Amino acid sequence: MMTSCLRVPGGRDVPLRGVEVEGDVFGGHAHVRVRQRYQNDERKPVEAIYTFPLPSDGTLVGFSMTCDGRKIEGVVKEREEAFASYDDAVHDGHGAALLEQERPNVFTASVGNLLPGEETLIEICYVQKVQADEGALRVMIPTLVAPRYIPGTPSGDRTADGREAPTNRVPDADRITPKIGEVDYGLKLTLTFDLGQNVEVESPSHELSLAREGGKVRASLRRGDVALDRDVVVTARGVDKGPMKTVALHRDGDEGIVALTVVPDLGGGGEPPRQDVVFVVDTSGSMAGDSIGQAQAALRLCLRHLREGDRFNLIRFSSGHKALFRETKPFTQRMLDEADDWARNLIADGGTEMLAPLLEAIDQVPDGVVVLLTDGQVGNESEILQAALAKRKTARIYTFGIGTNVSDALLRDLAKQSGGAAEFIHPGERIDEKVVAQFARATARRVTDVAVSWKGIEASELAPNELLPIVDNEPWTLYGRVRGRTGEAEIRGKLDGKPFYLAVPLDLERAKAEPLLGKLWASERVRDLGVEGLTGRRADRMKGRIVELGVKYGIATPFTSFVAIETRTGDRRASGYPETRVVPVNAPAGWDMMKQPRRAKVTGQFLSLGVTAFGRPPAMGRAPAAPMPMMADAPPPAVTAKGGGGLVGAVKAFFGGGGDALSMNEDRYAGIAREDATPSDPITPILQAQLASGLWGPADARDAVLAAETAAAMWKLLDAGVRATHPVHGALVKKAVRAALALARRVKGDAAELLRSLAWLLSEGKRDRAAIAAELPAPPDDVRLIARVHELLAVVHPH
Amino acid sequence: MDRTFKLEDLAREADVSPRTVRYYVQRGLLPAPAFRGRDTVYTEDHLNRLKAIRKLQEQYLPLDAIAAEMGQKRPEEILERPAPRPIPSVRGERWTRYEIRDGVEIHVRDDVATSVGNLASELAKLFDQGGPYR
Repeated sequence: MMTSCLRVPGGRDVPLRGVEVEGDVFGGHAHVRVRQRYQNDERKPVEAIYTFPLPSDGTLVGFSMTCDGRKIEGVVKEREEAFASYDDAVHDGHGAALLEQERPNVFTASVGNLLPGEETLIEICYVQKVQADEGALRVMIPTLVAPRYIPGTPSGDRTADGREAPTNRVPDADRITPKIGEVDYGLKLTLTFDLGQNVEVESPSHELSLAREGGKVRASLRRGDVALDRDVVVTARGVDKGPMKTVALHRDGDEGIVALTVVPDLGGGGEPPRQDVVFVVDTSGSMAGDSIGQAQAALRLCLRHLREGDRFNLIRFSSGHKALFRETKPFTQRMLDEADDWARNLIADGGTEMLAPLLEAIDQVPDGVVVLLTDGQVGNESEILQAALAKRKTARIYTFGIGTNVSDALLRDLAKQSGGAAEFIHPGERIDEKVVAQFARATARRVTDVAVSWKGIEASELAPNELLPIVDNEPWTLYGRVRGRTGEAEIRGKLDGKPFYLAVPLDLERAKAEPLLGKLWASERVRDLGVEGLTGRRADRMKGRIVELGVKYGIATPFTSFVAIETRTGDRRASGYPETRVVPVNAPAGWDMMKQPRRAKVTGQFLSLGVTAFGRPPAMGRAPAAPMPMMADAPPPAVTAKGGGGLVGAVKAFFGGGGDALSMNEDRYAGIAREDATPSDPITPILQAQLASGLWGPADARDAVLAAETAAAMWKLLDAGVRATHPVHGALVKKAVRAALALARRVKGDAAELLRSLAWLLSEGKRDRAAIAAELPAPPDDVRLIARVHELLAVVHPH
Repeated sequence: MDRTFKLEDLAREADVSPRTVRYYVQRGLLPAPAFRGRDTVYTEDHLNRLKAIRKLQEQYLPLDAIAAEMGQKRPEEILERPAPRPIPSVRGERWTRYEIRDGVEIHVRDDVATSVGNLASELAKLFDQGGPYR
């Protein structure tokens, strides 16, 4: 047990008594209120200082202090001015509260002259964008500013009591590293999902109790007070896809602030182009425990999404870094095996020197894809962000935030500003879905060189300033200050080298009113106006504009803070400075750094994928499973032949009974993936044995052997209902189908027909199927084809 | 009459930020000045203390140790005292290096190695318990 690092001699109480979070989640955004309850049980007034996290993509819209029955709203002032107001008020015996932004996701609350026996309530409100993806929506609420790696050498003077002293590379390290100690305050949380329908709400991080009220779902933590030691993650499934285009408006005099959101359907573009991918894996000490195992699992799944012809490399980093290959290598079976071995042997220990490996990765694929797997726990975020963005040409960075406590700011910024995307994996969440989502985005069609012109409406001060690429099926939002009534926004760009044009009609008279839009626009503008890398007058000018926006629109920024002051008289007025009580924080959950020996070998391996709940196959009389000799070193498929019913009966049962009822019920397939995990999961071993080429069998085998093994594996996938439309494994099935069709051209005869038949059965879409059908001897039909596959399988794969 | 300073002037004179001055007051390294609103002033004693803190910091003392030192001595004494000099190395001495963690070593002179015993391994253990560092 670590002793408290607090400067609280004699073990006096920590004045923070509890944290309560209440949020309303709507389609598109969430409104969240965080209440910190302070009570001073000492005999004299004290000041509390609490360093706490908020989501980095939230916009802080309100701050207030309530004590002695009075609620005082905070005002926004320039940072040092706000501090001086606070300090003077406290010094002069009044009540005051200050909220400072240290990082987009790290804040410090100072609450002064907490009077003996009196309760003081601090309330912080923020708005956060939440976007449904594939019908699922995820809300992540951080609870702890976890220890993070601070690079550099000590330099500069402290202004706060953090565990780390300022360094040349992180001059405010002392403000973002709260001390760990004994904590006796807890968290209560309620989220109300107002998504207009019956969504399924779950949490991988906490037990929830759910209540339905009308069309809303109220989710609260089942245990009353939980430790603030891990992110609270709540997901909602079954969320309707929002409209494809929305226009929201906030009137501001005769002007307005508009938010234009487009979810583009750019269509499939055939075979995605070849990719160069470098994976960068954090193996620092903070990844020890569950996180490294999850990173390994994610990595191995990612590798399986590469295709032959892609080039790739892997880099691991902690205090130093090391690449698997000196430069990117073509993705082949041999390279995949090497990469798997490399991933299996990762050990988490040491520092988090993220900058050099990230730059090396970008250097290797300046126009490719970098996949970063980390918990984001570093203090030099802006140094890394600026250097990475300066180095890349068109390289995109896709990030996976892994672990119970993720620092999301750097991960979101790297992804957003490079045109990539961020995904977060809390222990217990499905890794496979997230890997699939990231690869879908990485290979999705995209509109580049985006420009917007306005007809009938004057628009200025757009945010983001540099328009981001428009990615198929991903929401794309543009904010701007507008004047006028009706008109059009014309979006132009390049799609696959050809001109792209999209006109969005704007009727500002009828736009959805959104009162917080001014603040959202301002905070987006502030994000554009980063001062990192600027010096002298330019930095001052930039800072001046940020302060102006912060003060005018009432938002916290790096240079503006909220301050609330209660002027006190008589008995309630204190004299002199109060003593300061720094609120200690928990050790992060799942961190075994505190207890375990340093060289503890990490046990998390690919097979711990148990957490990712693969689908249970549909209940049916199972077809005799062909043994698969090439999986000798993989765990044998746990489900074995149960006999009974014969193949055709099984097939009929599978597809829903009678021959005519063979319409492919997509919901049913989609549903499979959501069933509970079962230990007897037949799919994982099959997919793990898939070769880099997309086929199955010994990598160096003759085509005939590959055909037989591939057919057997595809049959098993079909049997388990895992087809090209499968929400999770679809991409791997498509890869198999393409490879099987190519192989069919080489093997001829029965084997070719078998592969084509299976390809037809597994694939999706009229066009794809028609192309396959053209090469089959007879027009395909589910029942006949399945029977034929069974016959052929007996010939081609007689085991 | 002693010189007095506004916060900004004091901070400039001592080459620290106003926020650092405030932090030292919080930590008890500096006495709080009497509050007189915009007329609040700091004294020569505050300046001397800031200089003494700086001097002790240059000797790589952590703030807790500085606080203890400042509690016992007047700032003038600290400022007048010569800084400890580094020990010159003597030819022919034998030292052993112990790596207690990646990148962290302690060096023990061989003739005291036995009396120091297994200091290195104790330290290594402390490092392990003292986490989390990352």
